[in-house]
Amino acid sequence: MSVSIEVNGTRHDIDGDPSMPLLYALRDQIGLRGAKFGCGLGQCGACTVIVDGRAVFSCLTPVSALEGRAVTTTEGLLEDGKPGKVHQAFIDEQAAQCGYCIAGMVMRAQHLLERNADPTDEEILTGMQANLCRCGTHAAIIRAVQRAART
Amino acid sequence: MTYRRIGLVSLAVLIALIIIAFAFIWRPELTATAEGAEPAYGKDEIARGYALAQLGNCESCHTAEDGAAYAGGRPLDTPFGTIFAVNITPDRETGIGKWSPEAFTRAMRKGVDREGAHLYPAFPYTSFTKIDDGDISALYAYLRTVPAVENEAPENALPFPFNIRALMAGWNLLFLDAGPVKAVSGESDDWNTGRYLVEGVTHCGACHTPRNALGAEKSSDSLAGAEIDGWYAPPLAGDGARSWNKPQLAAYLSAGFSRDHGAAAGPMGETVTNLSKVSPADVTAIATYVASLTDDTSPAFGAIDNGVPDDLAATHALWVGACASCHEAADGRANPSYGVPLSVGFAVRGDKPLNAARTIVGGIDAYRDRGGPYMPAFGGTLTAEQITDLTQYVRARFSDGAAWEGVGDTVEQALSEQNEGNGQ
Repeated sequence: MSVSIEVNGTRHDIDGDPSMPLLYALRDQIGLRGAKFGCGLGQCGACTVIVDGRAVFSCLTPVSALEGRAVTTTEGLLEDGKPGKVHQAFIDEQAAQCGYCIAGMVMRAQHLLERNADPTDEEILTGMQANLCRCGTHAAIIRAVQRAART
Repeated sequence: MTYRRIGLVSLAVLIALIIIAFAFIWRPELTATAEGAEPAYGKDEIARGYALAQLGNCESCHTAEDGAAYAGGRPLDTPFGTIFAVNITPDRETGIGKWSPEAFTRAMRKGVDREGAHLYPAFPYTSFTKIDDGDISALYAYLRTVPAVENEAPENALPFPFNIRALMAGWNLLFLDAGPVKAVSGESDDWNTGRYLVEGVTHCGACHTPRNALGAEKSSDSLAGAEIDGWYAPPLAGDGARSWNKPQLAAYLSAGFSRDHGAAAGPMGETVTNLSKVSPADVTAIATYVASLTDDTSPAFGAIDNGVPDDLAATHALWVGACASCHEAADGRANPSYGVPLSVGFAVRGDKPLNAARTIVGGIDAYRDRGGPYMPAFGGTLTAEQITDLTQYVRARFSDGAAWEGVGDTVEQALSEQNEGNGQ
């Protein structure tokens, strides 16, 4: 069975089991390796991407759920091949340590800022809480989101 | 008898009626406390008051979203209109700073505020009236210690005639059974403590007892299950109740989870968060009493798996990709999210789709800060149609009940109310 999904504006036919998580399709079939496998249970957020404007855990999103819907990954936020606004804010604040969570953090931040261009610190904390960082760089991540909001 | 005499008698009767009605409705304003004359309260009394405030969910109702604790403003939607919880911090102008212990006791027991106005039973004084004097004093003492916050709660949005507070005098005559509960001899201390808490401060019936046309809990159907805020509070007593034993209830009430029943979600998640802050003895007492309301010889829900429903074969891919990693663990053990086989849960086995649909849409996030059951929200991941199909799928596969009706509307309603504040 084949499912046609749109990722960063391009259509892809995904072959295989329709229950396959979007994360596997992105990484193994399309070759977009920004989103990471962390827990596979929707607990850590390393696999976060945006589907139709909502941040979702791609590890728990079967490709069969995506017919006719638009997926955006961290690669889709590049501007002319260069880091986009949120990427640059994370670089400027040196928000990554090991970097494993960062693609998910960027997408969660993107989602937050699309809905609320000028979030309060409280709203940033609440909006980012679905994503975890094992290195503990949360303070720098919060600063990066604040910086992206100002940019 | 002349017309003149009839007229005089009628007038006298009318005046008498007005006097009776006035005496019946009118309640005096009680004297404000003097400013700065706050007595010192004992540490033990304040600690007991804190525990009672957790047991009573006081903060949950009296705190607005992102608002200061106990400063009011949270809306409560009722069939009669929207009522806003008031500020119960010690602020003298907008809170209850001027309330004496007598005024507080009258509000708790009779549903009348310090100024003499009748309160609406959205404030569950019909339950709080059963709290004993010592505990009411302790609750008052604790509420004097929370930071005073100046915040005027919005006006209630109640249409005529429900905006006439005096009508509550009649309502109280019909439905308010004022005064503390009496212990039942022959039952254990634990059982009596549990009953005292359940019927009083924890006001379980406010959610779990169905209400009549006038919004009063039906005493004949006490704790028989009811719809509340788009969720279904399951029956704790009566024919519809399922068997819970005491250890299961104690675990569920304090940690939000029982392997044999599943997780506490929705409004119950908030209740469990509050109960996690009180002494285990109080939770055990509640568990003892509630367990006694069901026939503990009837078994809890056993495992059911009817296999993939024929008409929902396409939905099976959604189940495998989104749900099975937690709810169909290969080795049958609970995983880090505490996912259980769905057939043990009332959400899937009960008669209404509300809890299943709302849990899929909004997930379970009540225990994030302290560990416990967790489920991601699928309200953004899946479409309304997909969630509707999935809700029917779990019902058909993991229960022996009839297919639910109105699932699509329930899902749409839950999606429209979903809180996206947590980033999902």
